[in-house]
Amino acid sequence: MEVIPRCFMRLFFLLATLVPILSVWAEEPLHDTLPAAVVSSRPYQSDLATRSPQQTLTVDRLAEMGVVDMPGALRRMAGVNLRDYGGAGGLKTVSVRGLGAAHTIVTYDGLAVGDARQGQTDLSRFSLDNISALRLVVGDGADLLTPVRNLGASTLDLQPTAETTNSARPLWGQVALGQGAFSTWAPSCRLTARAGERSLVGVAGHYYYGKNDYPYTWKNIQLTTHERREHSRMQAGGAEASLLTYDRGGGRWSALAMYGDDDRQLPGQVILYTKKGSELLHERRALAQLQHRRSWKEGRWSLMAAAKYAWNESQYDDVDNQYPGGRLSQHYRQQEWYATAGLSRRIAQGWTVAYTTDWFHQRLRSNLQTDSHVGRHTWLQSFAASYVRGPLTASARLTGYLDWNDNERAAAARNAHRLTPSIGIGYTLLRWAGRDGEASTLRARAHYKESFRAPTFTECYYYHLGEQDLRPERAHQMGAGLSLELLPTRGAWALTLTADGYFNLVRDRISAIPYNLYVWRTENVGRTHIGGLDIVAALDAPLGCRHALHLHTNYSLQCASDRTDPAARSYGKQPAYMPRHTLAASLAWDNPWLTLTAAVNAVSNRWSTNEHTATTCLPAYHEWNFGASRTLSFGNGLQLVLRADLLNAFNHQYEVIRRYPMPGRGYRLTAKFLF
Amino acid sequence: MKKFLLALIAPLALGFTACTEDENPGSPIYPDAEPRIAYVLNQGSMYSGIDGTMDILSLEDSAYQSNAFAAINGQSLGDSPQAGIIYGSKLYVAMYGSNLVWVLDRQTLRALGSIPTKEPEGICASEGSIYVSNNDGFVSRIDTTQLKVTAQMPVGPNPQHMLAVGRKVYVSISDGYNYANNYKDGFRVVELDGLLFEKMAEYQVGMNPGPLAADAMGQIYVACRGNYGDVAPKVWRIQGEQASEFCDGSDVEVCGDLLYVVNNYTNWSVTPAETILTYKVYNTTTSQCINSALLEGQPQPEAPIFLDINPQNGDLYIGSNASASDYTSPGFLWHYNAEGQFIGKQQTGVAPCAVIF
Repeated sequence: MEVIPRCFMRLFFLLATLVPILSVWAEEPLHDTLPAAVVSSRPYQSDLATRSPQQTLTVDRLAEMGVVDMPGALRRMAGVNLRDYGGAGGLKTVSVRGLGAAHTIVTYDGLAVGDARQGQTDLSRFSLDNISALRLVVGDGADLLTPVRNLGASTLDLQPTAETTNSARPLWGQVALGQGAFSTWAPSCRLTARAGERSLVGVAGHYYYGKNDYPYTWKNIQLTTHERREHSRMQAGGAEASLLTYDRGGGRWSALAMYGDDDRQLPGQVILYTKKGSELLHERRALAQLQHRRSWKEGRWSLMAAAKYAWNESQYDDVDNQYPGGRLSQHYRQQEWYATAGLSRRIAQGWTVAYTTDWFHQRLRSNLQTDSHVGRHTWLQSFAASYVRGPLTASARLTGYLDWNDNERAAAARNAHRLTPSIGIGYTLLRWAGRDGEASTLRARAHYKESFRAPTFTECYYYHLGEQDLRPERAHQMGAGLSLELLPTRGAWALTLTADGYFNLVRDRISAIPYNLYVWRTENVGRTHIGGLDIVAALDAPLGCRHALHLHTNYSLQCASDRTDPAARSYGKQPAYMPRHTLAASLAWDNPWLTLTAAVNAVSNRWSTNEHTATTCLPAYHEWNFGASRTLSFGNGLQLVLRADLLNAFNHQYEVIRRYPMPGRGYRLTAKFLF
Repeated sequence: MKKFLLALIAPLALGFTACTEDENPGSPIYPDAEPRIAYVLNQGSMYSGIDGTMDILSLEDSAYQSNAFAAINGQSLGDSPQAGIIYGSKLYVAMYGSNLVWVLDRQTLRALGSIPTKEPEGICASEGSIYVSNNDGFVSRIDTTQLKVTAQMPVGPNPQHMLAVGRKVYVSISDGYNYANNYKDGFRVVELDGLLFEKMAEYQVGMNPGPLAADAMGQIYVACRGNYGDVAPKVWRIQGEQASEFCDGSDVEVCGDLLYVVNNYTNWSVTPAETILTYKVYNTTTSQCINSALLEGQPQPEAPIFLDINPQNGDLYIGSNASASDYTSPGFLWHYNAEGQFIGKQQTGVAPCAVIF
């Protein structure tokens, strides 16, 4: 079997070659693109001053919130509905503001992580050990010059660690080891070096092993049994190399090559009176990407360009004699070639216009009968303009989409073309003197956006299920909000509060419809209305004598209703797995000895079916986590960070997805040595 | 009616007491010797987390008790029940998802035990034993006194429905998971000797054979469901040593000398897809179609799942989902007399799959 495609290896060597070349070009000083780590709960200024909602969480802030893993981090973002199939190896996807996971674009290091087969990204593959920050943007972000493909209904950007590290030393890094309940071990390391005055080269590696055999209690009417998750071992490892450099013209170049390998036993859903434990999933992926940004003529012109190649392979096996040969084996291989370029110009005072275009080609090969040799070319274009003057900031964008599908062995999916507008406006309503040169502000914002998602290859081609005539699933978003930042001149406390209301409409929702007992088919039949409210509040309260309290809360209200068929039982009801109320809160107490955190996630009841059948109600749950951390400094930049967390402290038994029990009480110990 | 309701309530109340089975074996659901109730199996939806259920249907007045098994036994029936059979004083239910066969007291519906066996689908009884088809390629013989599997025999990939005629046991071999290769190792019905538990014969039939039925002359009818695409479902008939195509159809039932054939077929090989749904009656003696428009003009389900017939009076029962696109809401049991006239409709559990008489 071909381990890594030859073209990927070529790209990898190209990137390796670029390191010394770009290092020679480097002359300008390095700039961090993210805010430096601060001990604060407050949202960043850049999040408050946007035209559409944006939330940024750095790892330092997440640690302060008592977050130890990626699902925990995602729960701390307002508007996010996490689907979690339980345990470290369980699939985790996010749906933002009720639109569905396929409408959320996940980017890693600024470029989209594509999956044309399933259309959604499994976030369990990313570890917080390698992430410096997560940023969620609803609608269009502040940057006009962004790849068109990143402009989903919402974008979750995962920013790798190397980019944010800022040190005067020639070589620095960290070694970390995490150990947790249910036999989990997670060592990781990262090394960053200066290559010349203006360049950084980083390498990183991580490994995860988890048996994930957590106990759970199962209630079967009057019968209560104590069970244990079995067949849930997971091993994952990965390595990446990165380069960041600035050329003599101030252009910023970054390159990344990454390889990851996950091997999982899938425990599957709980089946009454038996345990199956026969499913296996092995995934491998690699990517290489190169990005460039530069500005000239005093910033009037800006250029953005990037290219990427990604490859991933997925091998699913279900070992059971009911299948021919005793095994159901599904092997998928996807490749993607991607390029983007854009140019922006400040044309008059306050006015900036930008044009961006993307092209990408996705191919899927598999051992299946019907989606074995399929592909899609996609061409995207975007014209955008923004106006910033005084308290007003506004932007408008028109995005064009064209795709061409091909299928070597049968009918290809229908080609699609779309033109979608978006508009955003922000206004500083009040601004008054604050503290330390910062102003207290009250801002307002509003946005409207149309977007869509293309049908996935599975929806188009999968045996019997696939329908080649599907149209894209359309989403209309409109929202408005206020953000308040209070920095009183007296006292040292600070309060920020954001509240955003929205209404979303999904048309042509792609759903699988049963036509008879055996045959299901995907169709554009669904229509959903979603109204909601997202609130984020943060309070920093220094208490003196190196004591301080940090409170962070996010709350989401999502009222969604199916509007497809008035005669259907699902009509007017909240769609499956969408809670009406979601709350997360954390309180951190900084003191000279330890940082102590308490955090809670609470979710209201949900239904596992759209029809709200009596037995499919999932009760509300709340999960409490407590943590303590201590940083020991040894001089010369040497630090040891020790952390202990008690997870689900009250051993609350709950499910996010029906029949997938979540872990009960557990712990996680982390030691991180920075040098 | 009152008598029947009391009979239903009694075991329900007992189900919530702390008595052990030894202390109180439970009250009969029907006190008379003549069975006047039937059991309705509902598959639920395993992937939506909906348990299978068993309901009780009064054949006298159509009174209905939902989820009776759970009420009486204090626990769920389990996942994906497929079929059941009453044999002697016991009721046996094949639970595909839960990998077991429930053994229930026919009088009280109390669980007497469960027999682990892999992915049981079809079930029948012959010569003092229960036979189940295991989807991993076997037929298992269950001893009705020891309540355990005493023997297994490989029969072919994905054996499905079972039928016993005297000491002959028939099982349809679908090779249903091998759709990518056109079900190539199916196309057959295997005949076993129920007493010796030996393979006696094998009959070549159409693609993807499933439901089986036998007439008074011992002729076997098997619905071969095709590939849900360009190969349409056909009913085959086994006469003596020969098997031959009999008519179009995706499900069969026999009552006396009448063969009821449901033809529910969606052809996906054309655009837009075409769906056919017909109900016909054949005389098994003359092989003539005597009613090609059964249920026409009568209320009927848009997405039928199964057809079962009350052997005592020939009434027809058709199970269906809530609607063609709703597979997670409670379904319906449609009741017709032997002539096909609509009598009534009863809400069931999710995805009803069989009525056990």
